[in-house]
Amino acid sequence: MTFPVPPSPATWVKNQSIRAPRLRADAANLAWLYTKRPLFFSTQVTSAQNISNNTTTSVFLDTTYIDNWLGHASPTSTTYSPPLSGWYLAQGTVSYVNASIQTGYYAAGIHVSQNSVGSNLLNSVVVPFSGGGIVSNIACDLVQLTANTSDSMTLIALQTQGVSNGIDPPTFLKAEWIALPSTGASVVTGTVVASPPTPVLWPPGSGTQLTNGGGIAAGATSMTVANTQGMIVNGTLGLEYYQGNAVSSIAESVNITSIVGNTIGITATSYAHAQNAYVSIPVSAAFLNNQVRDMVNFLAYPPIARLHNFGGSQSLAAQTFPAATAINFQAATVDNFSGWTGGVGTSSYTVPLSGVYFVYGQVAFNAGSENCSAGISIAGGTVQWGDSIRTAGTSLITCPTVSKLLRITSGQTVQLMGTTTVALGLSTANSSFYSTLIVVWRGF
Amino acid sequence: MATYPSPVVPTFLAGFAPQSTDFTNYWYNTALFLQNKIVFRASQTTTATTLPSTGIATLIAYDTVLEDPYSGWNGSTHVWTPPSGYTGWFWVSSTLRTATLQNNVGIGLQVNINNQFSPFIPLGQGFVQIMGASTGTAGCSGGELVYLVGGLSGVSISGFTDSSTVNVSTTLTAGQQSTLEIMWLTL
Repeated sequence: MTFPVPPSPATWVKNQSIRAPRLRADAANLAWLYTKRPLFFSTQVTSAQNISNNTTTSVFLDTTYIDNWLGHASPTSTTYSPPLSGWYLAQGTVSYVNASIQTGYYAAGIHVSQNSVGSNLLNSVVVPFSGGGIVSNIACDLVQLTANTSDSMTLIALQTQGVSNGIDPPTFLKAEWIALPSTGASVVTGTVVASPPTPVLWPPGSGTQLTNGGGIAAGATSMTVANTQGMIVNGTLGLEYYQGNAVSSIAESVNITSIVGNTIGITATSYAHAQNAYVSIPVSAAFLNNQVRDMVNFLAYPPIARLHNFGGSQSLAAQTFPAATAINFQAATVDNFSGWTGGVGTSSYTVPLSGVYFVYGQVAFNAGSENCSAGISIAGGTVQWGDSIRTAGTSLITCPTVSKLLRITSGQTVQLMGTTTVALGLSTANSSFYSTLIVVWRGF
Repeated sequence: MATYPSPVVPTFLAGFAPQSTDFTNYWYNTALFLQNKIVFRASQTTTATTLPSTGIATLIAYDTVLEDPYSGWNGSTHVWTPPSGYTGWFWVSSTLRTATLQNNVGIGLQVNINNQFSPFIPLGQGFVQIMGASTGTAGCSGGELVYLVGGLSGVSISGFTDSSTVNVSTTLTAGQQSTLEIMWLTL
């Protein structure tokens, strides 16, 4: 079985031939990767696993629905090994048979092994209600893993009911390759493309024509044309060229500086050109760098961010829902488009590009939780709430989560919001339990 | 919002010039789709759903479509179906928000395929447990990976209560509305 390789598109240069191998290596490879990116989804159906009290336990995944790059060794394996180096969005659920013991909690999380060092992050933490049914907990993290090493991820369960507790469906782990790695020796790392190109059609062989009434004068920096197909900013145009041949003694080339409708900003012409003059649109190196190289680089490394408050300090005052407080962050595990501009102790992630974003947040409270909720605020607006849970009369930790797919405009801020009905500190000193905000660009 | 052809993996044959049509079919359309993947978002803002105390899973009737460029939503059945030709793996995520709950009550939500709790994929995100009378509205959220056949597989969401002795309504207050999001991930 063959797979795409990590995208590493070439830079085109003037007079370079456009050959099939280069197009296959760049455009075809990226399309292959993105339409069949590493995706893993496996569940626990038959194992009927029991989780020992107060013991972080790897969850068996015995029934796999998709593992297209073969990262899961066998039905008895609890780990997913990255088949392609990069950032993975891990999402899961651990569902427990509800023991209804309200002096303990249920939790789910993600364990990662990176460079032979293991770490856990608990996500959803809840105290059960006194009833039947099941209790489900969400797991979510954004992690960088290296292929062909011992790196791996695992869904983990933790419960403190005082007794062994069974797992129920739905319990699953989903792992999805999101982007090239940001760092690493001997791996292809991502390239930030701050202004991703818009796909344009291949330049027409016949070019177009100048439509300015009376033509344009020498020194003109703007012109109008009949058709802009194939034009890109920083591309090249040939005035008085037709199908690659100069048709006049005043043939010259100019660069495109702007495109607004059929009005093209250009570098100053040396000559005057009449209305209906031929304008050729060559398949230039600039065109291929824009439409292939930059497109591949952007799609292979879109805006992603993981902020957390481990090592920080913050307490939330008692508030009446839906009043809420923004969660401050201590560090960014990844922030490739530099959206977290305020730095340590600040709460806002500024979206770099307009589009649809996956946003996940969790608010990890110290013991003593009451009514607790987690939500997302865009541009300081109305909080979009996720979980609202309650653990009255206990001294247990709690962690509500929120997960949304939101359309956000460039420049707007994203904040994780938390609220509690009793004053409570956030968990920031436990390396396995802290608040996080994950933001992943999903499309325009 | 525009729609784009389902992506293809380009086949650039040696010896053929990169003609306009080849580039359009092999790369331009694919790049457009990958930059603008299929997405559906909806919320419930005008008419609440009553979740019965019996705990029976009840269809959430989302009434406000936030975006549906591929026109997969059926506002009568409250089911989203990818159009024919767009089969693939999709991530379905949902938030259920309800009115204040009684003491020791749980709420949860589940994903349905073609109006059935599919026996092939364990769906469902039964979640949230409330100890003690809640002093505010309740909410839970979750997501699931599903394989949808274009034109055939419809996605809907149901909510349910656990251990409640009264019916529970979803909330319509801004920021506290139930939501559904679906996004294409891969072929």
